[in-house]
Amino acid sequence: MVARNAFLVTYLAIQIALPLRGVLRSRFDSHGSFSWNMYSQNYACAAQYHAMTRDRGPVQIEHRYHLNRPSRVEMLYNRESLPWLHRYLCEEYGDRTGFESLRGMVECTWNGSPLVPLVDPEVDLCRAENYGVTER
Amino acid sequence: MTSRLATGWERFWTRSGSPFHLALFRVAFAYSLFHEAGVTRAKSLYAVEGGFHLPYLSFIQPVSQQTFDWMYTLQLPLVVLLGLGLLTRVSITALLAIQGYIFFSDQLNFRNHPYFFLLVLLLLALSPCDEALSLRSLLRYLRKRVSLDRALFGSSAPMTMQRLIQVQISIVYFYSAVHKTHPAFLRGEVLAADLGDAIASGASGRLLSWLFGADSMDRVREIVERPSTMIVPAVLTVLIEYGLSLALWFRRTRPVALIVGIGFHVGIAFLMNIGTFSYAMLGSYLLFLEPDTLRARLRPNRPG
Repeated sequence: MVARNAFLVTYLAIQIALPLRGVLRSRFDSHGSFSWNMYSQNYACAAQYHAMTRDRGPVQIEHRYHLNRPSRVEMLYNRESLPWLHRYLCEEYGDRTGFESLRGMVECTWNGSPLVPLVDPEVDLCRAENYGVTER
Repeated sequence: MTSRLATGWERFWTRSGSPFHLALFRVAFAYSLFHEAGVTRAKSLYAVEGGFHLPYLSFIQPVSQQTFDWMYTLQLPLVVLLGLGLLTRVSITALLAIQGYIFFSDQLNFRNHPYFFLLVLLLLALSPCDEALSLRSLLRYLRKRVSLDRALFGSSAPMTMQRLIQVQISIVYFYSAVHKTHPAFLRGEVLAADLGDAIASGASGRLLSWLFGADSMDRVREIVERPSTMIVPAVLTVLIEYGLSLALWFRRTRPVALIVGIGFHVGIAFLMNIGTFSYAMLGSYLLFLEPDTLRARLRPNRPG
């Protein structure tokens, strides 16, 4: 009985608290997984990345094609996930001949809000704090 | 007060009944899993090595395409075993391991459907879902260890895990409604954005075109993509989801809740092309029926 109640309490605590985390956090900060958020939000982003090179100037990076399913890239457009994407792009492009810096622009709107910039377009994402992802 | 709460807690979780409804749910759930496997295979490609990955835990590494394909192929006979109720614990444990590995190998694999199926699999593993209507119970009958009645309907036992699955269903409805309770959704803007594409690419669009011609779909899409048209459906959706999270539990409200819920999920399946999740939720309604309801109807001259 003790083991059963311990399991029940633990399971219920997780299943009530975990979705609450997604409800309380801003969509700009995290994707909100594990919170039963199903077809309830309009979230749209415009994103562009450029590798600044010595010889050719800015070269556009098709970042979504680094994903096994490019259509899911919007899951990354939040303050929690973007630093990981930027770190990956820096590792991927940083060693290439002529590469100088990585610049990016990600702006998102959530349920009709004005566009919110999640990435500082003025900095080198590979050298900036938090890989150039803006603070809340 | 504390002892009343403790008594209520015990009564809720240890209420006894036949596992027959749970067994029916097991079969329905296995059917949903079988159909979901192909969809999840196409949408869980982040489990395959190469490209950008965002793992939950660093030790869960992506696999080769060949291993990934094998993991999906292996699931199908396990799902069949689950549906038949044979080697149930083994098949559920293996399914949890495979699906859990794929799901947790990358955050980009997150979708609500596989997450829901993982939770239900966990709870079924701890439940007596194969004590009735299963090959296991049938084999016990053939070996003359149990009566036919017991092989079909099982024997009365605490319905703890069944109750927990029911609570999980209510949690899904409740939080889904909470996420929709904001001005943009209630103004119809979210449904207007989602429904147009869904109708164009799904069964409802094909039906409209067949009945009224290809132009009809464009006209319907024009109407549906206007937020003002979607205000009533949006508000109804929120009210239905809040309502279902509670109304399925009580005898007086259950009949209406069942009718509304069935209509709601069939509508979602048809209009938004969300089939397997809808059918799994509908299958779970069996768990909300009073214990022994179907047994009493199937064997009216025997005590429940």
